[in-house]
Amino acid sequence: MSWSSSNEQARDYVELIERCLDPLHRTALRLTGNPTDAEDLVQETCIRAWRAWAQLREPAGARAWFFQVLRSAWLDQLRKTARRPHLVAMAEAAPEAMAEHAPLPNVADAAERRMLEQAFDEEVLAAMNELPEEERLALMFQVFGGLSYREISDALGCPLGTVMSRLHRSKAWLRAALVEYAIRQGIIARTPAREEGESHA
Amino acid sequence: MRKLGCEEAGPLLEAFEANELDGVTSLAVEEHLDACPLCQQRRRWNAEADASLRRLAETTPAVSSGLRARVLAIAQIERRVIPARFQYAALAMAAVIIALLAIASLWHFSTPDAMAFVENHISTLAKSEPVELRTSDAFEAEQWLRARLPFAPIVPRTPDYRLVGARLCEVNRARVAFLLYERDGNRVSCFVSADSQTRLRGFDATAANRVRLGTCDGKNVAAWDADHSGYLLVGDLPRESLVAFANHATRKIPQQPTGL
Ligand SMILES: [Zn+2]
Repeated sequence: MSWSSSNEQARDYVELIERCLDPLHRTALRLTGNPTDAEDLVQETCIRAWRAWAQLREPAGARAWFFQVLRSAWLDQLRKTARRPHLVAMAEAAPEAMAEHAPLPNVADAAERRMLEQAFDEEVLAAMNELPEEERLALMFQVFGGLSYREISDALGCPLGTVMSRLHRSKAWLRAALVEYAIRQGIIARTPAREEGESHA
Repeated sequence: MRKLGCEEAGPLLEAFEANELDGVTSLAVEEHLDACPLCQQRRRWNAEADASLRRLAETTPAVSSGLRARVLAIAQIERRVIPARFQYAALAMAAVIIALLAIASLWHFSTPDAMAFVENHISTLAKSEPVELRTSDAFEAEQWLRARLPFAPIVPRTPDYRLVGARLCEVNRARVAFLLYERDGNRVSCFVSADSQTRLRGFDATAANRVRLGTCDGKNVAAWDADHSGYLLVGDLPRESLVAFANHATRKIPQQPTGL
């Protein structure tokens, strides 16, 4: 191995990591929930990515590749700390069965709207953390990593159809959390269909 | 075009919103949406969830300058990747090496490996702060180490390398001193242990002054014994530079002022 080829690789690495660092960090921060763990996870991801650099064939695939490495570093970390043994399928929450007929009334007052948004953000964050790990990863890769369905499928090593259904289920789960919050707060009325299908914790 | 029911259009809603459907399917979903109040409502709630997700993404703090510097430096610290075009040759060679190693390990497996030091060197240099004590004063580093180790390491003084600092670490189950040196941006780790490291696996040559030399994982390694301690250097420098370092290190240490 010559020094120049190693230097070229180092240049490619630096260029691609510059492009992917922000999305990786954003995702790691939401995955881990704290800045220190997020930095460790990103650093571990980059070390692993660099060590396996030769496996990266196309620079175009670099983003999905970095997230693939992030995923494996994260899952290893979960296994090591035995945190979140959350890989089982989601309980039969059946958010689809919950009729979301009730429209959210328009909140005209800016301050009120801001408070509602803040509450929604908290609900969404909490609901996201309740998702099974692979669904959570798919959603976070899309939202915080900015990955396309194709890239998510590469990063998670699953078919496109699986990505589609994971994102659908994740989104339905978040929606259900928001609807439930709105009902709890009396913002919308409980609909008959929802009472029948209520089972989500 | 076939009309979609809720049970078909519902699961496609998110992909539709993300523009991930092909034209035909996308039109079919759109047509369903126009006619279905329930799916329209779902879209409304999806939009609320999406807005929340966007806000969460926007409020994430930026990458710290420390993290940015650390991850950018990784490629500099670890120059060890096999270029893609050599991959197949490397795989074939790896298979041969694995077979040879398997045979060699029958004789050797009870002897620890110099590799552990190389790994420690790599992981320590990847840390944001690789040393616990930051000092360029060899004497200060010695005092610090003596207070913490069951033996008294002599910290090598060489005119060409600047001492960066010291830390304690554990390699091959022994507590050893880690000293970091720097020269023209190149960093060299020097491990000092109570026992000799010259008999480790991983060495393939012996230089003057009985300095053992080897290459592990792309890094050159040199080990020698002096002052009742074992010394082991790891760095990206050529072997001759490591030997020169060792030659300086084994010379008589200048006397520190008495009373300290
Ligand atoms: Zn519908």
